[in-house]
Amino acid sequence: MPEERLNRPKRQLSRFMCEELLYEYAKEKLDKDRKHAVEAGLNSHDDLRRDLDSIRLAMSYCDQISSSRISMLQMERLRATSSPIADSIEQLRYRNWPDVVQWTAQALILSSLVAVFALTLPWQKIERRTAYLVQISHPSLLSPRNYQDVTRPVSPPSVPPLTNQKATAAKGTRGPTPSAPIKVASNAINANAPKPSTEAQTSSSSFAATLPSNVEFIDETTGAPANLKGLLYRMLMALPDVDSVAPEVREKILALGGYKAGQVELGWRKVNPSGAYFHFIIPEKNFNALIKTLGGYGPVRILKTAHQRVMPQGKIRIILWMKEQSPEPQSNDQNNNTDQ
Amino acid sequence: MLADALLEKIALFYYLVFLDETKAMLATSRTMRSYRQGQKKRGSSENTAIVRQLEKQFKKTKASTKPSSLSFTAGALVTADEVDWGPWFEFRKTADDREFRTVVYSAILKFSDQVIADGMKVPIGTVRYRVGRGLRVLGHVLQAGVGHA
Repeated sequence: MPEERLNRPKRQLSRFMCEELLYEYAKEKLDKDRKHAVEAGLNSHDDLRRDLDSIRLAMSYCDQISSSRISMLQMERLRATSSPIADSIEQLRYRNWPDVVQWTAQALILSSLVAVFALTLPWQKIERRTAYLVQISHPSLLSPRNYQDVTRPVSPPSVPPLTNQKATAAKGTRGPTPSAPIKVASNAINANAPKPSTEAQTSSSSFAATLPSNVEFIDETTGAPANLKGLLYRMLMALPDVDSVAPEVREKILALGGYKAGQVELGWRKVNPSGAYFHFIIPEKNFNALIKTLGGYGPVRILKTAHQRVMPQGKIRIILWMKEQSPEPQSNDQNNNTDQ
Repeated sequence: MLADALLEKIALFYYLVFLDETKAMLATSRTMRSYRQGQKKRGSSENTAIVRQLEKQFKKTKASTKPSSLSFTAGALVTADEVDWGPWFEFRKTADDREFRTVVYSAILKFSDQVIADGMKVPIGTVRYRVGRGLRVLGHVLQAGVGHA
């Protein structure tokens, strides 16, 4: 075995291998064969010698740094922070909580905030405000098509019960005397339709029986959702002199036992769209009288709609929108009337 | 209670990594806590566990962010000779993170190659390779006189 070793050719390393072994050479961790091989490489390559010098320089610099000690003051501070009590306090800090606990806490805080927000928000006021906006912007009331339907006389459809009511046209205290024939919507009166509630006991036919000729009555309660158990009457009038009519109508509503139902006063003057807004409650028995009174001022379109708010027995809730009629449509209407 | 020698090693590691006293103190406290918590279930040697903790915290504390300046209070680090921190600062900025850490473990904290290999979970040959490369980079910085005050 020793002979074999003696006869073995001298180990030779490439420049790359020598470079890789320089650190171990500097640390004297190489066996004899490798050490001789690296030395041979160092003799033949100048850059390897420079690298070795670099490594030795760095090692001596590191030795210098490794002699550094942390000052006593700093060590004291570190020991203080490493006490079990400090540890426990630190452990309780949010940043040290496990992720799952952190997420749970965040979720709880967020849901609590949402709950507090939801509880403190004045929902009733918001609901009332929204309901008002919906009411005055009801498509059936404000759409131009419906407006035309009310103001222009049209030939009556073949609904027998209402054609007999022409004679009952009311004479108002002022305003144009309506000469338009009665128009009844196709779903105007449906005696067989299911009524939304006890309030709906005020049947469409009973109102229809006393309608003035310029009053159009549409019952929209048919097929209403089951949860809408109340009733709301929406009325639309289009008049050229709303400013003078509105106070009179207000007085008449009050005289008939009506009182305001919403937030705004009766006859609230609105600018865009221009008109007067009445939201009020009136005794059911005075409903016919009210319609007659309103019919005296001009054509009235009435929509009986289902609503979630149920009124007490004998009371009905009405929203009257008295729209300011611009002169042009009126002249057109007059032309139409003369044409006919 | 953690032995003072180990505590000092941890603190020195962070001083040399962050080159910022406040960050070093914070990271040391955190590492000590983490080390103590894992002490009960530990099977490896103390030094290996320290290296593991330092490796773990290095990644956790984003210590790989290169420092932009030296921030030591006078007297925070006590050295036998006056140490020029310029080359070290340059070395910290230019060297590869793994090589830098391996140099600190091996040449400064004087952990054995086996301990470093176990702590970093790499073969021992890799440790030596990294130390060699790191020292060569540091040596070049020193020879070039870069960062000397």
